[in-house]
This record gives sequence, C-alpha cells and structure tokens, in this order.
Amino acid sequence: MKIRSPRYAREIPQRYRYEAAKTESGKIFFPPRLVYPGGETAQPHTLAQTGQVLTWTILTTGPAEYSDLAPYAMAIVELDDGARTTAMLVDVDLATVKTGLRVRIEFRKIRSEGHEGLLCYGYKVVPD
Amino acid sequence: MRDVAVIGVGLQKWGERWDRSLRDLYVEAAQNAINDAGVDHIDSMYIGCMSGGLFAAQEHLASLMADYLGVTPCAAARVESACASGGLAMRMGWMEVASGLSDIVLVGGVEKMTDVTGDEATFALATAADAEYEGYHGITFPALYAMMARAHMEKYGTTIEQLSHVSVKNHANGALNPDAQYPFPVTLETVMNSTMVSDPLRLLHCSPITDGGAAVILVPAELAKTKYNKRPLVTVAGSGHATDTIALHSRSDFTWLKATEIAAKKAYAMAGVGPKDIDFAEVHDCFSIAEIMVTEALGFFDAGKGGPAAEHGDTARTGIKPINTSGGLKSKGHPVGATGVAQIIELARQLWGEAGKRQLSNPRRGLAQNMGGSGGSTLVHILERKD
Repeated sequence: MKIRSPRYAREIPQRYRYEAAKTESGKIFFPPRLVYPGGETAQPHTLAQTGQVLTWTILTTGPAEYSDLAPYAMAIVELDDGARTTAMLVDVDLATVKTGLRVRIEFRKIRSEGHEGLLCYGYKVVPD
Repeated sequence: MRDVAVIGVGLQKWGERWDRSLRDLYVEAAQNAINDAGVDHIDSMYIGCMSGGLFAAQEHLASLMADYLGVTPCAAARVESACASGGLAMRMGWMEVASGLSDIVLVGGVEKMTDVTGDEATFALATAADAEYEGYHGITFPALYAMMARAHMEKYGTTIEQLSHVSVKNHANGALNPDAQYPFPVTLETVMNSTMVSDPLRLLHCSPITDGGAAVILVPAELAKTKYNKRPLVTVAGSGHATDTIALHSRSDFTWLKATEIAAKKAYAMAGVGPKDIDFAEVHDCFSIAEIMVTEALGFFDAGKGGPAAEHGDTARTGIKPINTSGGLKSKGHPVGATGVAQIIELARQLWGEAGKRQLSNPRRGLAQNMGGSGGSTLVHILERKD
C-alpha cells in the first residue's frame, strides 16, 4: 500500500523534528496523543538524540519496500530521556550489534513509493 | 449467564489450498460443524478473519458468508483482532448464548492467504503491528518476535535449542493430525539448521502461511443435555480477554506477555480454577519463542522456565502439561482468522475422546490461548468435560 501525502505529512513533526509529549508523571509518549493514560495531560517534549539498544534482530528479508537493504538490523532503543522507539540500525558492522550498544538518531530516507510516489524520510539510528 | 456447550466442530485439510476460495473455506468448515452438531438451523454466526480485504479484496464477510452458507437473512458479524480474530469470534458467540439472546450460534474463522504473493502476505500480516512507528521503520513479525526472543534469551538464558524443541514437539504432534498443513516430524538438527529469517529465529521456528477455515456450534448446556447429547457434555468454564500496547517498544517488559497473563487470570477466576488444574492447552505458537513465553504467562511454568520445560519434555503429549497436541500453529498451520477457532476444536475433541492418535488419557479441562500481533490482544478460553 503506497503512503500518500496526507498520511505522510501528519507524521512529519515526529519523523523530522522528534516532537513527543511528556506527562505530569514524567512518562514520554512518542508520538503525542489525544488521550493519556490515567487522565493525565502532557506538555511538548523533544526526544533526546542519543541512547542505547535494548533488544535487536537482523532481518534476512524485510518488507518489499526495504528489500534492497537486506540484511539489516532493527532495534528497540531507549533514548537518554527514557523514551523508547523502534528504528533501523545502520552504518554498522552487523557482527557488532548488541544489547547496550550506544546509538544516536539520524535523519535518513526510509523508503520510496514507486517511480512516481513520495520519497519518505524519518529516523534511523547509528552507532554513537 | 447460562452455561454454554460446544456440540459440533468442523474444518478441513489446511495448507496451500489453490482449490478453495475465501468463501469456500468458511462455508466448508461451517457446514461440517453444522452436520457434526446435528442442528437444523442457526440463530446467528460469527466470522473471525484478520483481513479479507488485504488477502482477498473481500470485506462484508457477514453478508457474503451468510449468503453462501445458505442461511440468509441470519444475523452475522465479522470480528477482527489480528491473529486473535478466531478467539474473539469464540468469545462473542459464547457471550451471545450465555446471555440468553440466542440458542444456536455458529462460531467460525477463516483466512485465505495464498491468493497474494509472499510480499503481499507479509505486508498484510504486518498491519497487526504499529503501522507508523514499527511497520514504517522496517519491521516484520519475525523481527518483532526475534527481538522478544533475544530479550528472553539474554534475561533468562533461554537457548535456541529450547526454542527448537518446541518446533520438534509440535511437528511430532501434527504428524498425527490428518488436517495439519505439515503432518510430518522434523528433527532438532533440521530446525536448528533451517534458513535464518530474523536472528535468532529460523524458518522452522516460524509458523507458515496457510489457507483454512474452522467452525464450532455453541448451544446452552441445558439444550445440549436434552437434545444434543450424543457426546459427553463439554462446556465453556471460563473466558478472558485483554489488550496490551500495540507497539512492542511500549511494553514495560519485552519478555512478558501481559495481556496473556491478564486474560488468563480472568478466565481462571470465572472457572474457579488455577494453572495447575489445566490438563492440556492449545497456545499461540506463531513463533517458537511465543509458546515458551505463553506457558510462563499462563502460570504453567515460572518466568524464564518455559524453555527448560520444553527441552525437558514437560509439554510433550506424554509430559506433565501437554501443549499443542494438534500440532500448534507451526505444524497444523496458521490461517490467521481460523486459528483461534481450531484451538477450541482440539480442546473439544480431546475432551470428547475423539482426538484419534493424539488422544490424551482422560483429560477433563483444557485451555486455549489465542493472541494478536506481538501480544497486543489475547483471548483465553477454558473448556471442561462435565460428566
């Protein structure tokens, strides 16, 4: 299914500027939401740009749109502000990927929607 | 709430069924269940199906299936909870009979997965994850479970051999199941040397792409006793349902299936039993690591002990806690929407004494656990033999 402009544009604040939200109790939500658990409200928060790998895998085959990148590493990272997210781990020797690896977020091309479609960008992580 | 009995079951040989369409698979299973139960009508029906739209360009299954089953204008509903769609259909049908609204309800599930390419099927399945914050970044379902496996291995010392024992056991069971997609045993070496899919999960740690349908007929226990009593009375003792975060990265513990724990506790409480009172279970082994984690979350083994239990043979047909005598998703197949209903079928057959070569020795109480995505939704049902 091709990603088209409105759906892509809505996520730009998160994918380009890492705009998140932080609740009164200090929990970070990425992306921000309309409703937070426990009836809390939240304030804008920009994600920390560095963190560590909590768990990881190396895909031999990925979805069709990423097939030219295989094999590639995916990781769940915990940023230094406590936020967690999922990202592709790139610019790395796959044999060195491990839990605890220090990483930083970088702006990268994620995929392209065919010959005529969008070029989609977002965040990946690289060894820090 | 009335007690609800399972009185009939139906499915067909699962696999790459080029000869069967989406509607054929559901109707065939449903008709088999209706004939098996001996009912002459149904009051309503449920259709568990993850994505008729993405796999077969077909939604509105309520209308389609009622039409092709020949029961129009019967009430019908398609329910979806990713890979837990079948278990959700079971809960909805159980609620409708237990509440007194209907007396004869058909609970069915179906998925037609081979009319699309492998890439298209992978995409459809990936919609069970967070499309914008997991899928967009390049995950697949093997990748998500691989990350859970790695966390479990690093926290508890679970080994790839232990994961592989789960696959070997499920194939040993499936080899005795004539409806299974892969009814043959596999060796530990074959599993451990199979193609790497997403480190550390290999091909034979992963359930397959399958076409299939499954259906059961539910009636009030009182009606089963008086009118549909050719078999031992088997009733739904407990039903539990819970959700968890959509994204794996939002979970507090990647090694623990919280929705399974909560749904199971609700089902145990309703049935007035605990994990030790369950004689056997059908669980959601979409990947070998999932079975290990589920047996822990159900309370069968302590956290971190599911791997050693599998390796030790505790979950074999001859073990203390037989898991997936049907062959599980790995050997029986995983037509997504049908899986949860087929679990109920295996429980019923074991409790009735109709499980053929897979038959356990006098089981009294079985549990089915069906989950969606990386554990974002879970249904647990407990069935008991009452006589």
